[in-house]
Amino acid sequence: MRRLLQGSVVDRPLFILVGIASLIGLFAVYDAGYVKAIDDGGGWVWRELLVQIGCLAGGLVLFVAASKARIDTWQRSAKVFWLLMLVLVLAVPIFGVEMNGARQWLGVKGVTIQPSEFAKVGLILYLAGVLATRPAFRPLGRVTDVASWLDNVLVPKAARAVPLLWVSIMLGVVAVEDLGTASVLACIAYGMLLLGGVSVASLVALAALGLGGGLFFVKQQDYRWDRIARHFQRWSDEHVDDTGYQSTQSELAMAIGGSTGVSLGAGRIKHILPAATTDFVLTTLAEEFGFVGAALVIVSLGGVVFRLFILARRAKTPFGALVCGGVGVWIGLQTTVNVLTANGTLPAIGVPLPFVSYGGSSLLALWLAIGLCQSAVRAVPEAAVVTPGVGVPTGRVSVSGSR
Amino acid sequence: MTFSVACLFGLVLLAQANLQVFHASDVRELGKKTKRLDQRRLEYAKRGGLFTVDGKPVAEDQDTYEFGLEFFRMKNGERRAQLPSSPGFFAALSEATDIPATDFEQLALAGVRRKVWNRVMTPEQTRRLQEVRIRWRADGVSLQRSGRRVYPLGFASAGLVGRMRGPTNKEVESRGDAPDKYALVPSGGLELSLNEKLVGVHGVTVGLVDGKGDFLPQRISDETRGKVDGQNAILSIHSELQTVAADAVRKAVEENRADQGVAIVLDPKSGDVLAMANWPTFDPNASQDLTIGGRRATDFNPAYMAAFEPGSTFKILTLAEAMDLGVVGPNDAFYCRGEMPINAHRTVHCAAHNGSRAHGQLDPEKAIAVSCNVTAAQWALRVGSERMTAFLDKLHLLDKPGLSLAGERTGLFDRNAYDKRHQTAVLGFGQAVNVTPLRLATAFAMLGNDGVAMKPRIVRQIGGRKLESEPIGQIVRPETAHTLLRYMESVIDSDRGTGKTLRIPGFRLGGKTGTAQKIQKGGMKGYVSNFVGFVPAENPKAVVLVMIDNPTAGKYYGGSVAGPVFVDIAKAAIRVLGVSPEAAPTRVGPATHAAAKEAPLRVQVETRVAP
Repeated sequence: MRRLLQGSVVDRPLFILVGIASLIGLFAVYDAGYVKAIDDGGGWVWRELLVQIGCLAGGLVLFVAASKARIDTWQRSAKVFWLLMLVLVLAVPIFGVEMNGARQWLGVKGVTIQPSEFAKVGLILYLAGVLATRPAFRPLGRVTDVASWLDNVLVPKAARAVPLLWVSIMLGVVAVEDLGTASVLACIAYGMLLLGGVSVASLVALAALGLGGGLFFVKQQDYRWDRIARHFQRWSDEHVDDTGYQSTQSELAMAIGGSTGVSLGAGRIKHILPAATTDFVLTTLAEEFGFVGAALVIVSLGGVVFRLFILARRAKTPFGALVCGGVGVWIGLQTTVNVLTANGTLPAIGVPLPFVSYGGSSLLALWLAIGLCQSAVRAVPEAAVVTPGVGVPTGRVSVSGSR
Repeated sequence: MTFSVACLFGLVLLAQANLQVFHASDVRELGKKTKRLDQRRLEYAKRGGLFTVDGKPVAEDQDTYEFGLEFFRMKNGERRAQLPSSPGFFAALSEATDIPATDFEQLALAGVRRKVWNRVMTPEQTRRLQEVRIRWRADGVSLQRSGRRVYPLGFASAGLVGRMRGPTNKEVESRGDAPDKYALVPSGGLELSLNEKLVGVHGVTVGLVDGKGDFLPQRISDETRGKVDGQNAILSIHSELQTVAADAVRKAVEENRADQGVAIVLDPKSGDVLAMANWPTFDPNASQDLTIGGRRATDFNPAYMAAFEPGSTFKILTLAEAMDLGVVGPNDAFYCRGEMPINAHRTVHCAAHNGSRAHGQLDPEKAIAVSCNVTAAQWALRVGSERMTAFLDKLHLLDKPGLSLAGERTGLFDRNAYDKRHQTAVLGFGQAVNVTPLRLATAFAMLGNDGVAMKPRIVRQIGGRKLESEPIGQIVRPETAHTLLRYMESVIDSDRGTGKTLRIPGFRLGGKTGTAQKIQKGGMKGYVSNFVGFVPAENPKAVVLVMIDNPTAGKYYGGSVAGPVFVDIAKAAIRVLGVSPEAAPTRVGPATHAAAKEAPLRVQVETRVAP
């Protein structure tokens, strides 16, 4: 086992940082959750904690497996993995089970998984595959008039954007029930396009499209719009118990925690917030251990992200670099949004804190992704490097930081 | 790229520090302001009870609360909901209160603003209601100590005890947002004078609560304190004497169509007020009764709020002082011609009886028995103006009653009278002075305590502290007191006595009648019928003073108006205080006096000298 693990850990700092974050997570899930566990008759050690421990173990298995496989193997199977994820995500609205008023899970005999978490890995692999092998754009012929521009520029460009159509379908399906996860997926995709050297004009156009789509989904549900629109009035009499409830309670708890916190176990927020172990897991840590505790979590996750971007530079293949970058965007984005949500800077969006929040699917997917990144920095035979099309230097991947 | 990551996480850390370090206190303030941080839970302290010396409650709190809902509040012309309107909330309320949830829903639909249920909530229900209030963050749920303070003696003790009344709008406003801003206010009597001791301190728990509304033990603030119930007080009042006295006074006032009446029973040895009743009064248990027994309800208690002329009963005190000073001896003879000139302008009279004013020759005992004004004037003149005034002061007769009750008043006596000789002469038979009935009773009581006057005492114990009885001072020598008691016995015991109809077979009683005329607005209007009596006549256990103000049904003599009240109270006192029957002593006085046998009660008369 130990040898197995040693063989899998290529970059030790990343593994250690992720390990720290996961252990903090186990502690936080226990600390923030035991009150509800007792209330629900589960005793001091209960289901959520056992699930989290089990999934951490499962995550380590996925980590080892992902790391042991060569990165070019991953690159070749990226599309298959992606298709599998797409099918699972599409299955959710049809076969999915509803929990807490949202249909985000697939369940068999009491075991439920959240495909959208694994879809993040699938998305990263897929886009990394697409972007790493994509040749630079060359018009098919000379552009003399509108017709030839259509033939030689627009149609081939549109054809190059077909993968985005698949991505959009997935985003749309996820966004219906879980706009938070869909936003994360969209941002990961966007970040990867950014890292993959997509032209500025396309990025601007995509940003506009993405914002428009986001607004559309926000407007679909009144509560989503209310949360955003009333965020600045969250302390007013009308909203403090309503749309502003989670934000204000979390802010208060953190403010009471102050610099050093109210001490272990004395936290109040875990008694009152329904999402105390998931989206607002940081609140209990910040309340009981103050800014010091919150900063420890933020710094360790920041360290993970920082290390991932360094690894993106050290990756042996463009595909591997894009995977590391994509995972970095994923963890960085979720961490920042989750923290800013918990401390009231942003309206409550519903994004878990990576490695720390309760959630088996998320933990498994994250460890799987970390395994991929370990694989990405392991040396591969020269022949195995899948290069982009003709005339595109591998150094083009911007995560190299050379730009 | 890595630089951007460092910047981004730096900003996140900054945002976190901004909340937890730089602006933590601002946000805490916000939490306090919106009442989303600390919760306060009140535990109401019980107001102390008042108990009689025989252990019966006179005023007692019932531990009940009334529950109210405020559906919305108007703020800047807008409705602000104070309650959630979800069916779940109403179901929770219903579970806590046993009021059907549909009631709440209907009220909400009807747009009712505020509703208070007059049903008694048990402590368990109040606890559950407070939980619902916190759990649902329902500011509009209110729990008030209900105004349930019961007065088991009813009107009998009302004039003495007072009552708890609802607060005025102004009082409610002045209490601001205090949780018990609708708390009742003492209106007078002992409820007011003992208020400081009776009120408790409400307990309050301040701290953070969990989702169910329970306080988190680790997050309870220093402001938290336990409730302290008010102290109980034990009064000197005896429940049975009080009730009997109140009924008797009421009967006398109603039968004689009088303005008002008072009966006071004192223990001469301790100064304890065993009963203090008056009529008309009010019903402390009725919430808004403006009338009582067909009369306007009033909290005016003449026993300590009014001063009357004592009239002929005062002759006892005049004689006591005169004999104590030695200016009158038991065998001195006085002659009453029916009138006596004081100086060139003024004459004192005895009232007509049997067609004549003259009482003829009298010794002091007989003069008391027939209540002769002329003789009493002679006693007073022998004592003299200065010594009579000093005597009033020694008795503290003109002072306030000294029970610390609100509305107590002083007596009246003109120390700079132009015609002191006349003033002294009429003072001899109880005119030219006004005293509160309670002070007068205290003064008489000293005759039953070997001449030592005791300060009146109404509270024997408050909380754990016993209040000792205190003497005012030795007023007359014990022998003098004993002699006067014997004379008073003959008022009832002798067939010539003005109180001979007031006998209780087998028991020796002493007393003195009095009928004072009232001066009102320059003219004379009505009478005050008095009686002071001792039960028993020797070594008395109770002194009883009865005053019936302005009887208008025909009778007005003390013996026939106030006397029956004394008899009722004396009978109760015999029973309650354990007075054993004794053989009547040898009759003194002219028991076979032919004239006296024919003479009706009217032998006792006062006149007032025309100004």
